[in-house]
Amino acid sequence: AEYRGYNHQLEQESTKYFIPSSLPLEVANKVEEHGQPRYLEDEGFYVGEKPVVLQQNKNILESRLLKHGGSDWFGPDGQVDLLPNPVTEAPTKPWVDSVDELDPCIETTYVKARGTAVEDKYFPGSDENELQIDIGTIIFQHHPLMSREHVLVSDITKMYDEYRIIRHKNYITFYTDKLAALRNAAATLKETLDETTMTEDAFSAQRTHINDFTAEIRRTTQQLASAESAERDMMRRIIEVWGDIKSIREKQGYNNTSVKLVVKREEVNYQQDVHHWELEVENQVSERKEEYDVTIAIAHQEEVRKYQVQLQEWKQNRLKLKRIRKKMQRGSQENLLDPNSEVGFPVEEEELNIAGNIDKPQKPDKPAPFDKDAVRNDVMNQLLANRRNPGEAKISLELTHTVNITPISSVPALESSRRRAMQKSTMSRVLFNGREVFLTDPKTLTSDFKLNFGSIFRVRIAQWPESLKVELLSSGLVTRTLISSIFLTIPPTTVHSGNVRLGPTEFLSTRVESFNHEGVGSNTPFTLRPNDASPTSINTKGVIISSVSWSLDQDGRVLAPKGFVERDDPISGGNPLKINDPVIAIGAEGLQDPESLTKWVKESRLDPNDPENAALVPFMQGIKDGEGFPFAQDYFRLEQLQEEFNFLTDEEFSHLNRLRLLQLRDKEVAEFRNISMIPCNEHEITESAFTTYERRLKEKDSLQSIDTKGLEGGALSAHRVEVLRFRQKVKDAVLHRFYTSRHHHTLQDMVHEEQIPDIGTLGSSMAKIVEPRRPLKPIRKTRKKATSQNLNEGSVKILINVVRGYNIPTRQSAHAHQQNRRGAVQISSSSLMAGQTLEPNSKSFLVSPFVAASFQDTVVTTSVAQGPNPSWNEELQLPFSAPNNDYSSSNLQKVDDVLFIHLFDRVTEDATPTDTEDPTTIVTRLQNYWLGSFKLPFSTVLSFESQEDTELLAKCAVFMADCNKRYPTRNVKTTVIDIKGESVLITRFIRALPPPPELIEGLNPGSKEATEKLARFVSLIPFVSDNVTYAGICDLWSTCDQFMQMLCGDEEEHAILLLNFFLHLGKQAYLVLGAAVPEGNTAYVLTLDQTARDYTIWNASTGQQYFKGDPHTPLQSVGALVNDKNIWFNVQRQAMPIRMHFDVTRPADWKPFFGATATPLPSIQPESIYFPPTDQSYVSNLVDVIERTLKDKCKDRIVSWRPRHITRWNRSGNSILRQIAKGLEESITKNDGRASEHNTQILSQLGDVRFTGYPMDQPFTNVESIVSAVRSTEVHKIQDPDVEFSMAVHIHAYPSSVLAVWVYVAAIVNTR
Amino acid sequence: MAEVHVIGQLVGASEFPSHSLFCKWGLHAGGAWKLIAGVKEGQTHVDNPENEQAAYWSHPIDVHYATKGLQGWPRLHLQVWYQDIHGRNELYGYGFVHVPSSPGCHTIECVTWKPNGTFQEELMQYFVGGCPQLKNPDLVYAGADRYKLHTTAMGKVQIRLNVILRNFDKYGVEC
Repeated sequence: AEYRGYNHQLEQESTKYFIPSSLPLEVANKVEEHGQPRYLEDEGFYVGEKPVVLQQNKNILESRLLKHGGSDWFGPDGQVDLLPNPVTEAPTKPWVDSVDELDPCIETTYVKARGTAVEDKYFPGSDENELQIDIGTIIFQHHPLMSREHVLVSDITKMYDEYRIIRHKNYITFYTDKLAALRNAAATLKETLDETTMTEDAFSAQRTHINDFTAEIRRTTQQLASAESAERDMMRRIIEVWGDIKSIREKQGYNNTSVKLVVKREEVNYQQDVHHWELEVENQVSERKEEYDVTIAIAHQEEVRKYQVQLQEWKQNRLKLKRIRKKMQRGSQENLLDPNSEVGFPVEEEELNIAGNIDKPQKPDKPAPFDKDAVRNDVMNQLLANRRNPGEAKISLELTHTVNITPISSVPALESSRRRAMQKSTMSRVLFNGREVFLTDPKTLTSDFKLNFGSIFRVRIAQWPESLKVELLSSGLVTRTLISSIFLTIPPTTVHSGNVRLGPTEFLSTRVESFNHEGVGSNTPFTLRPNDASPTSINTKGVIISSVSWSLDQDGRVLAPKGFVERDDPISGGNPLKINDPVIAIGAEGLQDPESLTKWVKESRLDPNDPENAALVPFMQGIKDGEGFPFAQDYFRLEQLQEEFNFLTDEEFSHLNRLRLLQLRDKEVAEFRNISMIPCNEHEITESAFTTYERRLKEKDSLQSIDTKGLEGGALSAHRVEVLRFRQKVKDAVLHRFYTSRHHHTLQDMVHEEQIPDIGTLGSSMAKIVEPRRPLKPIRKTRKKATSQNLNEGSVKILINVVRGYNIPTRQSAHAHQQNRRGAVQISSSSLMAGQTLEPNSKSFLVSPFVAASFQDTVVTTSVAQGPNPSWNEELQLPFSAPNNDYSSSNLQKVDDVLFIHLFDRVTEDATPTDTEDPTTIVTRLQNYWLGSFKLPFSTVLSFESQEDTELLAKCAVFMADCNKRYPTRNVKTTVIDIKGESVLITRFIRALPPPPELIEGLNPGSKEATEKLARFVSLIPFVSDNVTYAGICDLWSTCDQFMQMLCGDEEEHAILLLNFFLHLGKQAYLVLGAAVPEGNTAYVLTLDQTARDYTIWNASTGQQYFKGDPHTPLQSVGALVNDKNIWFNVQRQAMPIRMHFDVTRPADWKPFFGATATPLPSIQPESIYFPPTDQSYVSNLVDVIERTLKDKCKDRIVSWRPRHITRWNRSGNSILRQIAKGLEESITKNDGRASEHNTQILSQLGDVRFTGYPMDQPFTNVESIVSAVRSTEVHKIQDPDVEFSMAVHIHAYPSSVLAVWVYVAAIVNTR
Repeated sequence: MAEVHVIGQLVGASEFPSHSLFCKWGLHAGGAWKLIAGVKEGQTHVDNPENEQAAYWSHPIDVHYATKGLQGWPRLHLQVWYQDIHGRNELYGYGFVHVPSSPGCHTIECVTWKPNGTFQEELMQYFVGGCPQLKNPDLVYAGADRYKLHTTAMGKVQIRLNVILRNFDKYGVEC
C-alpha cells in the first residue's frame, strides 16, 4: 500500500466532513423573514427561564442545525428554541417527619420475627393485653392441719351461717302473717256470700274466689310447716354439734378455737300459748274439711253424673246393635253373593263384636267420708313435730368468739406439734397457660385457717388465654409441696379492673395427707367423735376469694384482645351469634338499649376505622352530629349510592331460591349437605325443595313453645317434652361445636407420608415367606379400602354372610302352644343368637327357617333351610345408595337407615277349600311366621379438647399407644368425649348411684332378682346411636343424669348406668370395653363374685346376661375393664371372655392405668339421680293412643297393609290377649315359666283355633316405631281367608317415664 | 341474581430478596356481595426452593359470590411472609389486586410493598429480622390516605384467575 501523509488525510477529510464551528453565528442567518430578531421578553411576553447551556455548545448546535437547513428550530429572537427548565426546585411530596401528624390508620409497628406467628396461640398484631389478678383470701373449710375440734367448729360455723340466713329472711313470720291475712279475706268473702241477693254469675265467681283462697291457705300452711320444721331442725343440729365440741374440749383439756354458742331463752305465757295452739288446730281442721268438700266430694258427684250419662248411652247402643244383628242375619245371604258389599263387611263385623259386656261403664267408687278425729290427730302431730310446743321457751342461738384459746405452752405434745406445723408458711403461685407468672409472699395460716394474701398484680399476655391456675404451695425445708390447685376462669372482655368484684371460687383437693400429731389430715380416715362407729374422711377444701379482670390503660381503654370470646358451655346455651354479631363480639353484649350503647361507644372510644367496629359507626356518627336521631342512619355506610345502583332490592334478593339453596348447602344444613347439582335457573327450583327443611324448623320452634297438651293426642307427657327439648338443645350445641372445629386440620390430615421401610418392616416381610400358606385359624383380612371419590351409584353393596343358626325355636303341634314358643324367642331377646336359652323340645315339629335382610326398602332372602339348626352359608347382597350420591365419609355416617335381619319360619299350609269340585288338586299356601329380628346401625370416633390435666392426658396417650402396639385390635379408651365436647377420663363416669327405690323395694340388694330387674329397667331406656343423633361427628358419652334426662343413649350410657346401679348394690362390677357381635366396639358390664372365678356379662342395652362358660356370648373380645378407680388393659393372649381370667390384680393378665397407690379422681356423675314417678294417667292415655293408632285407625294401618283381604277383629281375643300382656312384664322380671302355663290356660278359652301370636316388647320412643315393629312381624301377610286378628297393648311404667310397651298381635284361625 | 365465580390459583412469587415464602390471602367484597360457597381467605404453605428464583405455591382459590350490585367488586389482598432458617416468620410485603371484571382466564401479577420503619427498626431488621407491620392491615385494600406511608417495593406475586360471570347481562351490564 502506498503511504499517504497525514496532511493528505486532513485535506481529504476537510472536503468530506462538516465540523460545526463553535463561534457565534450571524443572527440574520437564523431569523428567517425580516432578518431582524425580535426579543419577546423585551416586548413584555413571559418566556420562562431557559435551561443553562454553555454558549460554546449552543453555537455548535446552532451551526449544525443551520447547515442541516432547519431554520424552524430557531425562535424569533435568533436563539435555539429552548423549553423552560422542567425541574422544580422544591420536591412535590413533602417529607413527613413529625409523629404527631401521623394518621393512626397507617401506623406501623415493628414486629419481631418469631417462630409461631402463624399459630393461633398468639394474638394477632399488638400485645398490649393485660390481665389483672387479685388473690385475696383463702378460707379453708377443711385443712389437713385441723384438729377434731376445728372440724366440728367448721361444721357449726357453716350451719350457723345458714341458720342466720333463715332467721334473717324470717319465713315463719312472713307465712304466719300471710296465713292470717288469707284467713281474714276468706272469712269476709264467706260472710258476704249470699245466694239470695246475688246474681248467678257473681255468686259462682265468688265461689271460685273462695276456693282459690282455700287452696292458697292450704299451700301456705304447708310452707309454714316446712319452714318451721327446717328452723327447728337446724337449731337441733347446731346444738348437737355444740355438744360435741364441748365434750371434745373437756376430754382433751384445752381449747383450740374461740367459738362459743350462746343459747338465749325467752319465757312465755303458757295459757296464751295453749289458746293459740288450739285455735290453730281448729283452723286447720276446718280448712281440711273445706278442701275435702271442694276437691273430693264435688268431684265424686261429677263422676256419678257422668256415669249415668254413659250408662244411658251404652244401653241405647246395645239396643241398636241387637237390631243390626238381626238385620244382618237376614241379609247375610245376599251379602256373600254381592262382591260390592265386602267393603262394608268388616265394619259390621267389628260392631257386632262390641256387643259384649266389655265396654260397659264402671260405677265410680264412693270416696271415704271425712274423718274429723283422724284429721285432728294428724294436724296435732304435725304441729307437735314442727312448732314450738305450748309453754316451751323461745330459743335463739348466737355464735360468739369469746373462748380463750389455750396457749401453746400448756397443751400436750401432740397438739403443740400440730400448732407448730401450722407455723409453716404457705404461698400461692399463679400459672398462666401453664407457666408461672407470679408468686405471692409466703403467709402463715391464721388460727381460723385463713390465708390473707391480698396481692394484686398484672400480667401482660401475648398468648390467647387458655387456663389460669392458682397453686397453693406449702414450703418445706428444701422443697415446696403442692396443697391444691385452683382453676380461675378467664373473664369476658366486659370485665375490667374498674368493675370487677372479688368473688369466691371453691376448690377441692383429693391429696392424701396424714400426720402423727393432732391434725386430722386430708382424705385419710379418722374418728371425729369418740363414739362414732365408722371413721370419716374429709378432703381438703376451701374457698378462694379472688378476681381476674382485664386491665384498663390511662385512657380507660380495656386491654383485652379483640375478638376474644370465652369458651361457652353448650348446655347452658352457647351463642353461635357471638362470632357474627359485632356488637356482641366486641363485648357490649349486655347493652341492648341503643341509648346506653351510644353512651358506651362514646366512653370506650372505638377506632372508627377498625372493621370490627363497622357496625357501630352509625352510633359514633350520632355522637359527632350531636343531634337527636343517631339511629335513623344505620343504613349509612361508605357505600353511599348502593341502593340506586343495585340490580334488585334486598327483598327480592332474599327470596331467590337458588341463592337460598346455595347458601344452605354451604352451611352444611343436614337436608342440603352434599347436594351436587343445583339447578342453574331460578325457575327450575321449586318451593318444594325447602318443605322438609321448613318443616324441621317449624318443629324446632314448636318444640320450644310446645304446650304439654295437644301433641299426638296427648302422647307426650311433660317429661317427654322436656326430654325432647333438652335433646334438641344438646344436639344443636354439639353440632355447632363440631362444625366449627371440623376445619381444624393437623399435619397428618394434609400430608400423607409413607413410612420408609426400615429393618423392622423388612424383617416382618421376610417372615411372611415362612408363614403357612393356609393357616388353620385364618385371620380375617380387611378388604382393600376404596377411596370415596371413585364411588358411584350401584357400585356399593352391603354384603351379609349368613352362615348358620342354632336352637331356632320349633313349631308345636298343639295350636295354643304356638304362642309360647314364639313368645319365648322374643322375650329372651330380639336377636338371632337368642335361641340358645331354649331347651330342645322333643315334641316339636320341624321348622323351616330362612333369613331375610332388608335395607333401604330392599329385601333379600336366603333359601329356606330345614330344622332347628340350619346352615345356609349364603352371601346376601344388598345395594346401597348414599343420599345425594355422595360417598364422602361424613355423608355416609349420616345414613341412618338400619339394616334389619329377620328370621322367618316358612310354613306350608293346606289351603284346599273343602268344597272344591276337583279333588285331585291340592292347593297349599306358603306362610312366613316371624321368629325374631335384629337391627344394625353404623360407627366412628374423633378426638377433642379437654379440661383434664395435661399430664394425665399425656399419660393417657402413652398408655393408649402402648396398648395399641401390643394388641391393636382390642378396644380400649382412656378418655371419652362428654356432652360438652371435652374429653374426660373414663373413670370419672363411674360412681355408685342409687337406683329408683321402687325397683329394688323388698328385694335383697345382692339377689339375682334385683340385678335382673335393674338390667331390665336400664334396657328399657330407648337406644339411639350417637352417630344418628350427632350425624357424622363422634361418639359422645353422657353422664347418668343427662342420660336419664334425654332418655336415650347408646351402649355406653346404658352400660354405665347399669354399672353404677350394680356398684350401689355392692357388687364387684366393671365396665367392659370390647367388641361384640353385632354392635362392633361396645361397652358391656361385668360382675364378678368374690373370688373372681364366676362372672356374668351383661348387655345393658338389651338387658341380657351371659354366665361364665357361655360360648354364645355376643362379646367377642375384651379390650379393657374400667371401674371408678382404674382402667385395666387386657394383656392376655386371648380376648374371648370364655378363655380369660378376670382377676385384675394379676399384672401378667391386666395392665393397670394408674399405679396401686393412686387415688380415684373425683367423678363427674351426680351423687344421686332423682327419678320422677311416671304419670299414670299419661300411661293409660298412651295405651289408648297406641291401640287407636293400630286398631281404630286400622283402616289405614293393618287394613291398609293388606288391601286385598278382609280384616276382621276378634274381640274376645283382644281381652284375652290383654290379660296375657299384663302378665308378661311380670314374667320377664321374675323369669319363670309359670306365667306361660297360665297363658296356655287363658288361650284355651278361645276354643279350637289355630293361634299365631307375636308378643313384642320394646322401650317406648314413639308410636311410629311400635307400628313398624308390628309391621315387621308380617302378620298382615297371612292370606288365610278365615283369619281374624287380635291385639292388645300393655304399658308397664317404670319411674322416670321409662316405659315398657308390650304389643301382642295374634292371628286366629278358627279350625272348626 | 348476578353471580361471580372466581376459580384460580396463587401460582407463586418472584423477585423477593429470598424465596422461602408463604402467603396469606383474602378476598374482600362490598356489602352487596354475598359469599355463597368457598373460603374467602387462607394461607399457603411455605415454599422453600433450593435454586429457583421464585417460590411456587399453586394454592387454589375457588369462590362463588352472588351480588345485587356492582359496587364493591371483590378484591384480592395478599401478605407475603418470609420464613427464615430458624423457622421465624417476618412480613415481606402487602399487595392487592381487583378480581378481573371480564370473564375468562387472567394472569395477574400483583406487586407488593412493605412499610419502612425508623432507622433503628431498619437496623434491627438487618441484623435480627422482623419487620414493621401495619397496625391495621385493612389499609392494604381500603382507600385511606396513605401518602404519608413510606414503603419499599418488594417482589411480585403471580396469580391466575378464571372468572365466570352469570346474569350480569340481565341487569344491563355488558361483559
